[in-house]
Amino acid sequence: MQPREFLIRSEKVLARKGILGSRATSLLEDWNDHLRSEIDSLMKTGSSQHEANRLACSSLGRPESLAAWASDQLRQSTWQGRNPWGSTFAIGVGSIACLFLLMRSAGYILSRSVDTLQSGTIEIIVASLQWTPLIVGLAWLTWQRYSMPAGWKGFAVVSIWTAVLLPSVFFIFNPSKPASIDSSWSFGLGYIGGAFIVKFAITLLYSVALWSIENRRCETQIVDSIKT
Amino acid sequence: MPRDLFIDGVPELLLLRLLARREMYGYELVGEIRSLSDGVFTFGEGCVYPILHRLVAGKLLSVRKELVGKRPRRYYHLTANGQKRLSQLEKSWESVSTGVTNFRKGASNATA
Repeated sequence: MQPREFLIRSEKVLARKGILGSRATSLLEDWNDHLRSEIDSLMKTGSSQHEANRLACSSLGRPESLAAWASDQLRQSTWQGRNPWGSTFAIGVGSIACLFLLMRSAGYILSRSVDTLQSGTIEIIVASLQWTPLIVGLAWLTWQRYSMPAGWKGFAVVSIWTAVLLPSVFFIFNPSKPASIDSSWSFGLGYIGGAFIVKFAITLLYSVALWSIENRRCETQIVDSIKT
Repeated sequence: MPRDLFIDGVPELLLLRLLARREMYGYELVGEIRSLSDGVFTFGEGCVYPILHRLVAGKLLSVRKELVGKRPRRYYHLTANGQKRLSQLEKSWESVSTGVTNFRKGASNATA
């Protein structure tokens, strides 16, 4: 195998393991430097260029094994990578708790200032609160895509969790309700027909788009940028 | 018993120990490990780099990039956290080594 072929294969298998962007670049730059240094050293001791290339690549290891090892090592460097299931659960519960706190505070403030706020302003605030869980979910998925603590499988699990859980957080505000101020608003977890389906579909489509963009991009993008 | 010492603690210990002397780049580290262990440690050369990157992510090492000709080369440098981790690993290694030596003595005496 030639060094360029080795690096192209490595880039491909690193992407399959969810090692992308700067993390893949730094590994490939290190492996490239190692290969070139080894080739120079072998050629100084009398090996031909072809033989030196072959020996350097084989002593570095198989790209598939190296990518699997790199994925394992990088996973160990983050709390989320070390505990993929526990962390997904904890972050899911934590984000729902934070959203509930936000909605409770907002509902309290809204119900007490309903007379001083214009109806248009109230509508904007309510709509923002209704879409906040979806925005949080999409931001969370974007972060997952860049940090990729548990590879593509972990990303798929997080995507499904996010798509099911966050769009089900609802906030309802009805200023004309007569009973009492506090009964004019409510929030919670519920699968309210159309709104849930739309948000669920947006979240899933977004995660599929993140995955497909990564898999359709040029496989030699990083290798081509590395100077030899 | 330090479980992680048996999994990937040995390569980590070797890398941190070498980097405690001076900053080095990957190929240099691989060569030093090979020569200082008299060829005993012959794990895949490419495996060293993911360990180095994990240590950088864990802030045990810092990295400096330099161009050699046109290609980039990364020099790894031990941080204060890395120094602490090295001390912990060396203590663990000492206790494991002493434990194994005592065990072997005990087992030899029992069979004799």
